[in-house]
Amino acid sequence: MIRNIGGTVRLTHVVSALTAGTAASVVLFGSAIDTQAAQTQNLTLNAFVPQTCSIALTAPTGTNAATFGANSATFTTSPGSGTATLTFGVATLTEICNKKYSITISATNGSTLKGTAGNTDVLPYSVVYDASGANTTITPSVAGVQAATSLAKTNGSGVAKQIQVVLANSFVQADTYTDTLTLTQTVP
Amino acid sequence: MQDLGSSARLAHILTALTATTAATVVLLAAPEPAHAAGSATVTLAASLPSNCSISLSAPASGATFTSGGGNNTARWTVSSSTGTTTVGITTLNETCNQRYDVTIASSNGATLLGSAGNTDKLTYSLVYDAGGANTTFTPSAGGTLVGNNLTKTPGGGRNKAINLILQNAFVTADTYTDTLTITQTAP
Repeated sequence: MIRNIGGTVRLTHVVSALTAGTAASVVLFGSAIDTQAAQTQNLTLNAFVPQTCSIALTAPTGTNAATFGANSATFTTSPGSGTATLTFGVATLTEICNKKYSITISATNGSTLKGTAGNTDVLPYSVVYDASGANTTITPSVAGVQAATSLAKTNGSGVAKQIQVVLANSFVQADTYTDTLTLTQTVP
Repeated sequence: MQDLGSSARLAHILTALTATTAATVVLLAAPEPAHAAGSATVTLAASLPSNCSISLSAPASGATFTSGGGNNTARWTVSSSTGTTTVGITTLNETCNQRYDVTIASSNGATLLGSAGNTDKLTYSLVYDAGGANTTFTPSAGGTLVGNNLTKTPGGGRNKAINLILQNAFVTADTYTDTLTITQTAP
């Protein structure tokens, strides 16, 4: 019997044995199936979550809520009623963002409601941002005033904030007085 | 005697056998039998080493797959913040000439983590052999056995799609990461 040895050497050894003798018993066999180290592959998973931020305006809630439609808030004042100021809810601002953000508000007429052509009366006003929360009062400029900075990430459905205007009550000419607010959400 | 090529070697053996006056050639793996004088018995058995490997390539659809220097990466953009999203992350090719197992481990325990300071996270499960065995599981840090005692493959191996089922959430804008380790073991 020829013992099991390495592959090439084994066969050579067999042949030698066969040629050397007339009576030879030759057994060729290999070792058991070789074991092999475990094979591994690494895969890094990268899930990219993009910035998702938006704002939307809807009708205001609470007392003295303006009639809201198509991002237009209409309210009726009572001029010269004796109170110094009149407060109206003009919109609900819903803010959504998955990172920190800021809100800026600007006014086309610089916080002044102006009448129709030929009417020189004006109604100055200020804006209250997040009336039932931070309750921040600002006087929006044409360039814009920051109402909130570095606000925290919201939840998926966003955060609703009430926007109000506070009018300086004065006895002005009957007319429709107008200004346009621009609310801007910025993400650093 | 010098070493010969395998075919030549066997021919050489047989030539040697036929040259004897009474030669018997038996191919078997039994213990050595008793022999008559002048006879020879040859038992042949081939040694076939274990030949097993796995490799990763791009999925049929889904994540952007890159590979280089032994590092594989699957990257995709999360486009929803609710429900679940299924993403193809890779194609696993398994080659093995014997039975084998496949285990998948996750460094973060089936959780995608954001960059430092971001405590948000995204959880997921995996589907091994999507479209085939379709085995859904949650990989643990210690590893989860997903293919047990699998049969020998063809020479070109078997391709299996690996999908990820992401539990969407409204999380901070960031890149969320985990590392999978796929291991093939042949007992």
